[in-house]
Amino acid sequence: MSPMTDKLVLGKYIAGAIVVIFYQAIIAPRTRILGVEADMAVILTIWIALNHGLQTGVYFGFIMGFLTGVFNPLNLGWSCLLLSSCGLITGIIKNKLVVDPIPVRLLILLLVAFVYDFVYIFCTQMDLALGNITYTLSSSFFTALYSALVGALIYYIIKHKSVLRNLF
Amino acid sequence: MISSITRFIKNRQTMPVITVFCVCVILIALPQSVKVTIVSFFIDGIYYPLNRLDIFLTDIASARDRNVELNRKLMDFSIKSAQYIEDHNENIRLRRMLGFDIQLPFTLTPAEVIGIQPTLLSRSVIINAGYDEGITNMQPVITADGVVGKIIEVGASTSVVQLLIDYNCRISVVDQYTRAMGIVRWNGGKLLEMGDVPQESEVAVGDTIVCSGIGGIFPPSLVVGTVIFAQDSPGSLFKDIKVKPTVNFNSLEEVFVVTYDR
Repeated sequence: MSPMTDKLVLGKYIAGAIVVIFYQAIIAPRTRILGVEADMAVILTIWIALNHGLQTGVYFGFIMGFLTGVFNPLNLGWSCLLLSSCGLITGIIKNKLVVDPIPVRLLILLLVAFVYDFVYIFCTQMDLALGNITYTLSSSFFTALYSALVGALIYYIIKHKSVLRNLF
Repeated sequence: MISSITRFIKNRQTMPVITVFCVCVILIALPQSVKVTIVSFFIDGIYYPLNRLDIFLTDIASARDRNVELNRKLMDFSIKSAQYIEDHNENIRLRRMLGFDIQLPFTLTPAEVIGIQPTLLSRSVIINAGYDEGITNMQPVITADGVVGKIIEVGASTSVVQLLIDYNCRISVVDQYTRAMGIVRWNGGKLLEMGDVPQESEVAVGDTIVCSGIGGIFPPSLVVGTVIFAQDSPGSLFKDIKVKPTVNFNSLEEVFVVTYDR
């Protein structure tokens, strides 16, 4: 990568970190719907992985996982591992499929966010996941759905803001 | 086979990615207390100021309403306080007459909530008090409204509190009116379940549920919640009872860690 591209990717890391910190601390508690929050870390990780590929997706996922894990230190490593995996899987999908149409991107976001949330609950609270499989599945689905809707909203805003569109 | 492994290792993209995953595995394997210490740096430096700003803005917006509400509560408590002193003195007299020991008092260590668990199912918060303030594992955490949870991890200046609405948290409780005993736990949704209460008991909607003191973690008589659903469960030995917690877990700001004076 050229130095210019390096700076651009670094800028995205920093911007993503600021967005996630601000979102988790201030916005997420106020935008819960029936106890469900949109997962901004997953949205950004998948978006970055779809635009920049596997390697950047993995790095970005790790950083997002660490920042998310700070809120929940007991599961710190799991959030890093699973969000890095989200970046990896999305990067692989990007290499295999045409992912430019927005509906395809949102579908990938929905699926990956659902799998991420379900596996996260499964890894960190296995008793709960096994004892309440319906509840776990439904909560994962609604979190993924909410995330996909927020992702669509972000895309809409970016599409109508040329400055932001150039940045992303 | 060997050449394909060599090619995989030599791929410029592969090694950094594998390194990232190795770091993740190391983070998973670290002891919980080390994880708490690692994140406390980020919490103190980044999240705590943001959290304070958030609370400050919320406080300003709601100051007038809170003032009215607090004045009303003060009036209520002034009246109740006079009655309480009478009852307390009478209680001491009667306990002495019956030869009961006076119950052990406890002290309260104030702390602020500086991090809130973001996920739907795992329920814990981080407070700004750790073993430097004398906090140890399994100490109860309360607010003026009632029981919040218990300490499950302690760092130098921060601790993790497992909330009452965590799947793994259970408290031995008693109905304040009927003295029926049971175990309160969260099992999804907004309410708590009070289990192990026999069908014959007369627990009713509106009853206050308090800690029984059994188990040695939570002191007796701390309020846990109010019964909002109580029904006989056909084919079961126990009643189906739902309890609404008195603490609002969505707006936890200041809490107290209970330390027994021994």
